[in-house]
Amino acid sequence: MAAANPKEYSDIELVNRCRNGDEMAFSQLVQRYQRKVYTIALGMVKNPDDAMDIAQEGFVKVHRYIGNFQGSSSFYTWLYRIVVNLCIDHLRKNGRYASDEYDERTHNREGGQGRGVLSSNLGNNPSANLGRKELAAYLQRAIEDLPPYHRAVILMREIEGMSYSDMADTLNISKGTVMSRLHHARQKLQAALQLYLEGDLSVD
Amino acid sequence: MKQDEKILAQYYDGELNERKSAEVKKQLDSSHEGALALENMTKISQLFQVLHEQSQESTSFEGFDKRVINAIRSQKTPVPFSEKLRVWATEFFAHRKLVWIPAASVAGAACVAVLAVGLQNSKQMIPTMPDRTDSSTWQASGTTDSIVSTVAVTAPSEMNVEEFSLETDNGQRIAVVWIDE
Amino acid sequence: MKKATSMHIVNVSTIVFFLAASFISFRADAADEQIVCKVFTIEATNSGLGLDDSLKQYASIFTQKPFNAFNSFKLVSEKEYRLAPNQPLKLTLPEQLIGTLEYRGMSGTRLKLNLKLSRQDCSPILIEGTAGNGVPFMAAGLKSPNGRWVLAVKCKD
Repeated sequence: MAAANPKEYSDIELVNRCRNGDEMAFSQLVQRYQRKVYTIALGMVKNPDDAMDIAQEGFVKVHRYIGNFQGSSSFYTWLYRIVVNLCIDHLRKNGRYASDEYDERTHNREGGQGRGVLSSNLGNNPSANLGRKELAAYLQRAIEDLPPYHRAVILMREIEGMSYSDMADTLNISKGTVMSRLHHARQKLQAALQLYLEGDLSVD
Repeated sequence: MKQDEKILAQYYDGELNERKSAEVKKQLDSSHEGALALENMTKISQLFQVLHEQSQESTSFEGFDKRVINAIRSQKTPVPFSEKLRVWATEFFAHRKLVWIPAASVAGAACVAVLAVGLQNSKQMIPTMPDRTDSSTWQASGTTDSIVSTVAVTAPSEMNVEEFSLETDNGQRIAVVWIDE
Repeated sequence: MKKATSMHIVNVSTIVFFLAASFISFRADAADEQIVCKVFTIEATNSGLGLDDSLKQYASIFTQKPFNAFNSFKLVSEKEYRLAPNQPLKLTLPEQLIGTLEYRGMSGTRLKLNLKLSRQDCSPILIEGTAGNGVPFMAAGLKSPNGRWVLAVKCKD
């Protein structure tokens, strides 16, 4: 009988095998999601070493509690929830965001205000010729200015292409809250990257 | 968030059904403002892709899975039951929002009823805390006037908790709880 | 008809007046119900530095068990919080320590307070305290970089 290629196992099959102590199955899950998890973590905490540590810690935690995974959400939703929470804890621990509850009203007032990162750095010279790297760096800085939960939704949407319901599931919030956070995050990013959006700059 | 902005974002994110999506598409043909907002969202998405590509270019995941497995092996201590219960409950309730609120209310009401009946019958306090519970009020150890603070502690079972009643210079007693990690 | 309308206006005005008066007094009550709490974060160590001057009024406390196992007490921070009933407030505590404080109303002449403490990813410790006006209660023993943390909570209505 030919052994099934482990790469063909579904997430839930691998999870079940992990529960029975199959380390190879867990390795498969790690390999399947390591890049995605790292990307989210990097977007959240910026520092590549911290992001790698968080990715590792996330998988360790998943392994520790895999017996509690009930399969009512997808495995990656559960994994993301753990990783996003680790990122938020990391940001809080490092004093990047002291406040537990970000005041949405404050954010509303801030949204769309000001001249943004690009304009403040480039003055009023729309013909400035920015490379892809620099533009991405400006985006990264703009992302860093977002509160953690807003940061999480925009990354999940833009990098992972997650649906509203998957994001709601992952963050344990309503779809309405997802929409609202996504909207605020986009507003803030648009304000920060206004010169690029006005068409004077291009990623090409 | 304005209604049209909300719809536009849903349209951009592919969250609308076919009919609604077609409606928005039609409206966009005649709305310069809408088309511009859509273009901005697209440009932001493009930038995210650039950022994503850059972050992936320089990252190697070679041996990452082995590092994870090693970390798991080095941390193999049993998970405390209370922690397991907490994770299980989080997972359970996260996906049963419509069920757990009424269920919790019913369970809560049942607990109150049981407690009330129990109290009436035995006139004794029934311990109900899931973890170790240390309740301590020093009303019994001195005159009420001299006791000016009290504490009751509920802590995870793995922690040792001890309460003290310390006397101040003016003879008052204040409560101190010592939590040994 | 005209008379009825005037009566109607008078009645409505009276109701509005009473509603406004009730609202104002309710607001005043709500404001009165707030209490002010101070949370002192103290580090107990054996560094030989003795007792901080700011803690001298509690000198006798720190000579008793369990504090007599330490010879130094340093006031690390003193923060003030304004608490409304049943609204837990996040405390600013040393790194890796998370805490909330909630005012739960009065029990006789004492203030009822819930202090919740936890480490990252750990189950919280709930301390239900009652304290007289301006009298502290303390939660201590959690590990600090050089010894143990001592949190003293002192509130006034």
